Amino acid sequence: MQTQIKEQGAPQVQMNDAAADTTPLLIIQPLRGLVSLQLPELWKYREVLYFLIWRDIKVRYKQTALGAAWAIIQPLFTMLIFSIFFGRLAKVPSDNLPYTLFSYSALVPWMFFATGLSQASNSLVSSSNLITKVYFPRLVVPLAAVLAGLLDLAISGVTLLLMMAYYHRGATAHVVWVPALLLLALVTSVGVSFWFSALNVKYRDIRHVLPFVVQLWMFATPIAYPSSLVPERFRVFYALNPMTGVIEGFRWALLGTNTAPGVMLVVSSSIAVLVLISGAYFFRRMETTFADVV
Amino acid sequence: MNKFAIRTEAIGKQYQIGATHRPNLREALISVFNAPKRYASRLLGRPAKAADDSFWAVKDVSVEIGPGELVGLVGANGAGKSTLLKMLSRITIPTTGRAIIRGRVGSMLEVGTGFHSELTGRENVFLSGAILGMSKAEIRRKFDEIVAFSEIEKFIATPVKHYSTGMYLRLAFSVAAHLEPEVLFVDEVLAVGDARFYAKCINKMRSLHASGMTIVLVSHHMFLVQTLCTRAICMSHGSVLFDGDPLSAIVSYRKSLDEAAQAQSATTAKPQAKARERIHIFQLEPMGEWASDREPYPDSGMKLTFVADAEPNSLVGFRVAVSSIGGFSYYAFYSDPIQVPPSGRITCELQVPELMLLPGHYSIFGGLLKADEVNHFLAEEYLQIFVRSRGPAPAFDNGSGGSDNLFWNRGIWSTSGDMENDRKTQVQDEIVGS
Repeated sequence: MQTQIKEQGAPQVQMNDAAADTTPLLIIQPLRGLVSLQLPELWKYREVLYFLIWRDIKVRYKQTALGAAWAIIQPLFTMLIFSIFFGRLAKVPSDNLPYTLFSYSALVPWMFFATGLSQASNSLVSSSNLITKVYFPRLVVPLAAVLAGLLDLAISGVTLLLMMAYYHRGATAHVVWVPALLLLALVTSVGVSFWFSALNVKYRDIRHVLPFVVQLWMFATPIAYPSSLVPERFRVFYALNPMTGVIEGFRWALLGTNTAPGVMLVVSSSIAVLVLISGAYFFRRMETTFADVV
Repeated sequence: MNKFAIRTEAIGKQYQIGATHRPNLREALISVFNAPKRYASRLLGRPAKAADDSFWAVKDVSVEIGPGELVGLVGANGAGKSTLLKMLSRITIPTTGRAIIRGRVGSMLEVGTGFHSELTGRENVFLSGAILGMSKAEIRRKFDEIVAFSEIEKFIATPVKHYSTGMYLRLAFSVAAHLEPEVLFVDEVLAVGDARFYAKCINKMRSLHASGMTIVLVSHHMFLVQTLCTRAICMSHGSVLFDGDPLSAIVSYRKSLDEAAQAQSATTAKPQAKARERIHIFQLEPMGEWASDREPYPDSGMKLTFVADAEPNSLVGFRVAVSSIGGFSYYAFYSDPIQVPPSGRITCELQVPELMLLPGHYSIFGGLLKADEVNHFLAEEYLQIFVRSRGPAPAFDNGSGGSDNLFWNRGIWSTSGDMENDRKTQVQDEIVGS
């Protein structure tokens, strides 16, 4: 059943009511036609978004012995494992960087992306108690789950800077691109999360598929190896993965690797934006049934 | 066009009850590929295949609620009350019809919406407040008031997982009670905390109502509906059964419960004979002194006269029950079986010399029963009395939470001022004795 809620402002009120009345009318009805993203409404509920992010951050490391140290431990240990198996044993090339730095610089944005995606995809289901009891734009829920990862990103980012200092690697002038690249990672994460979280409400299959998807995705992204290892003829498809652009760009901007990811970034960004917009529409379309299905 | 706060126009919600069949991913993918075909056939006006495993939780409900009304929504479980509230608070979407609401909406469908057990009381006030629709500035402004209302000042910095259930509920209710929407939906959440806090919640509802807020309240607590609401709607099987004064709505609700119970117990029961049975409370007369019409004192008596029509030659009985507004029966009188005369009409009189009721509101139900079956009501009618206190202060007013007593009874006191001396003497006697 296609349904939608419309909020109508004062002009419509005057049509309905001869007396001048500025109270907005809220019209609740099944929808005919296309869904709208209702971005102004989303903006109106920004404080809910803020509080959900705040909650996620507050709660994330409650009752853990190591607390926020987990934000570093996870990428650090992954880096260690990669360094031993790929760096030492398999002798994977690393763009003339120390392999530890090479993999860690990729793991920082990747962990942000992957953790955000995992948290957000389950976010609607785990906040079913909210969804069935109170109204707010549901887009806020996965959005908050991804954004809450920004703190972890900051912590692991600082560690990366320390590591660069240790290896006497100064940042290049391209460093100004880092925020844009992180934004790209954010957009990708949010976009995919919109799809997965909405699907997960109805099809819990997603929850089981997700860890597998994330792992596969990691190997389809140049984290443990440089993209130069990928045969030339596959490069186009390779760039379709937005995270490829993010990781390659990240290494280039921060560590000055030779690969200039220009074209790759354009493709990656376009794909990411496409996923985001389609995800948001899909989400809005599914949203009306969340409370009944979750 | 007159002013309204809430208006529903033939609003309805259909659910698929085939909970057993949830489409899996594969079927959903197939369905996506079939979507253009479905869409085309809808455009051509071909009706979609009627789903037979569906039911209407709410069907064709059209009501209009004016600003400032406090409307009680009553009905048996599954009558559609909560679904209606969920549609009005935009949690779920109607299948048909529409609703229009004027003003900011707040809903209290659950106590503790948005609460997180790991966070402290203070943090939860902000979190829950924001989720329920308050702005940060608003919460900050009302924070002290919210905490004071909940009476847990001492524990506000403690994670709520260490709270007792009562503390948790009190804090949660306090947050929700400080919402200031123009339209508020409340779903059976008032009964939190102890008797004193309960009374406080009720007073809060009263003051919100007095401030002009439109409130729709779902409750199974009939006394509350009777005393708090200005109007009540009784729902049954998704539709409105009655809409009007609270007491009649409650009677309608009780009737719907009886019917449901009968329908369940009597699949074997023979179809109801033509509805010729009826009862009418012809007269309610004072015995002893009354304050005014329908207002006796606790020690007054009453005389009731009935007229009833029933199947000639059948065996019937009368029952008069005196009960609280909420349906709690204090006592009942059963007549001996009566053979209905050929005319089909019986009159009957009951005298109660002393009511023995505490001051407060009561319903008197007059019922016509089949004499050979237990509690088979052929017809029932009620009227309402208000028992006045003889004293200057309504110290024993029943029902307002001030008294835990059930009955009034005559007691004869005699007091003297010499109690102190008597006791001294007694003590001395004991000493001497030992």
